[in-house]
Amino acid sequence: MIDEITLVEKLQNIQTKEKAFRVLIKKYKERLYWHIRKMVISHDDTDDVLQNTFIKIFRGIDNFKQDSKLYSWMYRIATNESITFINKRARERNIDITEMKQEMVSNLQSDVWFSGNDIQIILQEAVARLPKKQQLVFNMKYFDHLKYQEISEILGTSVGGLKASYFQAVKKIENYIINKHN
Amino acid sequence: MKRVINHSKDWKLTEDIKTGFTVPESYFTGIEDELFSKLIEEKLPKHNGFKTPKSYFEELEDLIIKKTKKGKVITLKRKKIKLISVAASIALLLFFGSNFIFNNNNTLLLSK
Repeated sequence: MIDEITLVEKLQNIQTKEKAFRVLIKKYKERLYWHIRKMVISHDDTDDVLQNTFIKIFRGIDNFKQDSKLYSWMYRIATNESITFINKRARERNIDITEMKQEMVSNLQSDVWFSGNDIQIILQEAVARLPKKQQLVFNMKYFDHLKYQEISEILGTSVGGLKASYFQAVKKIENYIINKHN
Repeated sequence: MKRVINHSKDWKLTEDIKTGFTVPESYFTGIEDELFSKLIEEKLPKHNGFKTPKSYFEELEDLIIKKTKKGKVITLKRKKIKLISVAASIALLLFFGSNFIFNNNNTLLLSK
């Protein structure tokens, strides 16, 4: 497997850029897809955001200085693209972002690319109600199994701060689920 | 007694000088939050129920590579729209301009 420094060098060389970019897509497509999917919920929207993310990576790779890790830089682009997408949708509908996220989750029941049960829908509803940072930390830790150190590199927050955010997030999710059941 | 040592570029370790045992620097920070989070996690569903169309990931590389060569389709569309609107403005300008000149000429001829 090609190491990250060599891959970046090949990506920044016009002669090897395309071949290296294929390697990059192959390596990160699923991780970035699931990261985006958990934010924008529908498969079709995720597909659009993922493609735009990779195009941005392709265009921006020449300016990538290796002072952060490649994956954390790409995760940041994917996160920003997803947030921009949700903000744009909310503006078009003239509603606020929290309402927009709840609307996205409410469409899950009729989504052909969702096979979850009631409790999984309630979990998504609870996640959609979280503040942006807690939502990101929860998804990255709980579903993507990223380590706090890795999340810290992506979000630029201290490990201690992330642990507190994650605890706040799971506590709110637990309360939401309990209230829904009662 | 404790001291912090640099393990690598990304990791700092806290070392107990008496025993020589080390832990990651941030290990004890927020450990209570981490433990309580784990207790709640056990009650939550493990999967989110999302799925993707069959062979979606296999076709992705070719699709994205094709797009990087094309540039943004939206940009091309926007260019087209811009071109059409410029052409329409010129046509309107010519139409009203010639009408104005024609009418002015007629007025001049009549007044003569």
